[in-house]
Amino acid sequence: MKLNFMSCRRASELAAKQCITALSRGERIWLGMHLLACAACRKIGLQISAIEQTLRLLQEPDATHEATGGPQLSDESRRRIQSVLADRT
Amino acid sequence: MTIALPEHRPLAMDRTGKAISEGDFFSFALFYGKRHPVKSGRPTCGPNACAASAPSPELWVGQFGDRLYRFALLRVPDRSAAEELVQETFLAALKDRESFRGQCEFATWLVGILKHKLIDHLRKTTRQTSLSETPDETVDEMFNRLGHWRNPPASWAADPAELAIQGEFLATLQVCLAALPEQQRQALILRMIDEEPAEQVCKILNLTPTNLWVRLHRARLRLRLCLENKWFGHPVARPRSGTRKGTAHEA
Ligand SMILES: [Zn+2]
Repeated sequence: MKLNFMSCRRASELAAKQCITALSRGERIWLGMHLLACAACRKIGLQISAIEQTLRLLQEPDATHEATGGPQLSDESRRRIQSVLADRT
Repeated sequence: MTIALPEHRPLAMDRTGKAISEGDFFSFALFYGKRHPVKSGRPTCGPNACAASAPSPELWVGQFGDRLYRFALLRVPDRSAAEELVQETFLAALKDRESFRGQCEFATWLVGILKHKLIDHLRKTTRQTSLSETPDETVDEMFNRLGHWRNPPASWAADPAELAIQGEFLATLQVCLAALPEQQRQALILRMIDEEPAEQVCKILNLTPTNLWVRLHRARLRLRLCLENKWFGHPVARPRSGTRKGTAHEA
């Protein structure tokens, strides 16, 4: 299974699978061996980890909106929600 | 919310800030993509927060409307659906106002209600098509028939966690998120942004664990490629050209 051993596709799949469920011992070893041999997958792995660290900053969009000038409720929906709330207060 | 990022970052860090050395391949293998159980900087309603009373309802939309809207829009990128969810949240909050006892900030309490509304919304709108996932050609094309990367990854000029301080990068990230296919986006957001446990995500989206990791795999690769094209591949966007030891310049 030499070709399979070098499959970057499988490596990236196992890395994603690992976020959902524990890998088997064989899978862990396979992934470790692949990463040992494959610079591209190491690099992509680091990039994805960095992206995911950044993603967590979006948990609270308020942390970002000043910088991005984030989206806002339209005036129309603002008025509509105001009046719906006023009706029930 | 403050964004605390260390000044000096090694090649990579795990979530506790421990450096991952490039030589340590086995721990790297475990690190690569691994998510530990939920431990986030999210504010929680705890007994230690000081008591506060709810502001009067006519102030809600002005004070919290945009915040809730952004929260919803990131997760349901359809303006009218997001507005609808904000309205439902305020109405539920109005009805249930008595139950707010100041255990947490009022805004946090509202976000908590919105989260429930969002999950209901996802449950209603997600239909599982079949047990096997349909192929994703964009992802298939990233590999040749031997399963090797067709295009080797570009070296990125900076660490995204560092870039996060810049709003533009986060805006690009959101554009790339919104460009993901709906089902992939939902899986990625619930698991990686909201940090819901995998079993919970499977329940909400009515998926098997295999469906979920297949979607997550695709979403991550698409997101990476999108950022490489839209941000890192764009020379003007690179904020610095310094070669620091340990940045993604290797290979
Ligand atoms: Zn590889």
